Amino acid sequence: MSNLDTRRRINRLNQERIYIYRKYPTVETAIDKTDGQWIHITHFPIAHGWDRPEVELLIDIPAPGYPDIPPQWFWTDRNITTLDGRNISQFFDHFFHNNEKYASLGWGHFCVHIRGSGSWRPASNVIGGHSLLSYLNLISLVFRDQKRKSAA
Amino acid sequence: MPHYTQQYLVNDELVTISTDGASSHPTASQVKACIPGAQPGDDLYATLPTGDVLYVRDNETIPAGAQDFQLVPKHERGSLLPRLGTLA
Repeated sequence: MSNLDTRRRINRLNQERIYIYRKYPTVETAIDKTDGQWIHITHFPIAHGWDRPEVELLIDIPAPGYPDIPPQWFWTDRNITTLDGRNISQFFDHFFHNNEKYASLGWGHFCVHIRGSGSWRPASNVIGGHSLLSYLNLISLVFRDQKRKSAA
Repeated sequence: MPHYTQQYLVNDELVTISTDGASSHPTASQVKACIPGAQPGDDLYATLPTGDVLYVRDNETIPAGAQDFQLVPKHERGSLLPRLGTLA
């Protein structure tokens, strides 16, 4: 990975943080300032139906590749439950190769893949194409979608 | 031809959509056309008052009663996701 690629990615992440703050003024973000391989978001608001109004998120940033390559998964509070106390830990992916690293820190892992080539269209101008805001919209949808069958 | 103006929440932001036609409800394509940064191929999901989430095809009118929408890139879910209505 070239230093130039890393610097570009970190610059891009810093630009995107500005737009994330504009849309979600209550969140706090931190990025991997060394390699640009993750972004950590706290106080991310989620839909009604959970035992908390907001969650922590850790999004893995493809490196090298972002923003041309979209994020493919995110981590969130492993101990989240439904409003009536049902645990969802069985829904987390237990076989992800980094599970041990983050699971021991209390994170649960969700895969949300962008489907097919051409479905992810970033632009050099952050708001002109897909960005982390697009991925956060997906995460928001995940937490809204309460009625889909849980079968694989 | 009747003219309609409606307001909806799309990706948690208020959007005003004006349409001409027989239906007061816009199609998914018409909603997408009003969203800055929307990309061809993005998918529209409607959250119904019941809490159900419904995918709306481009040429379909949005479901009656839905006011809240998510416009997202085409995606698939690799791991099982928490669906409150069906958890054991």
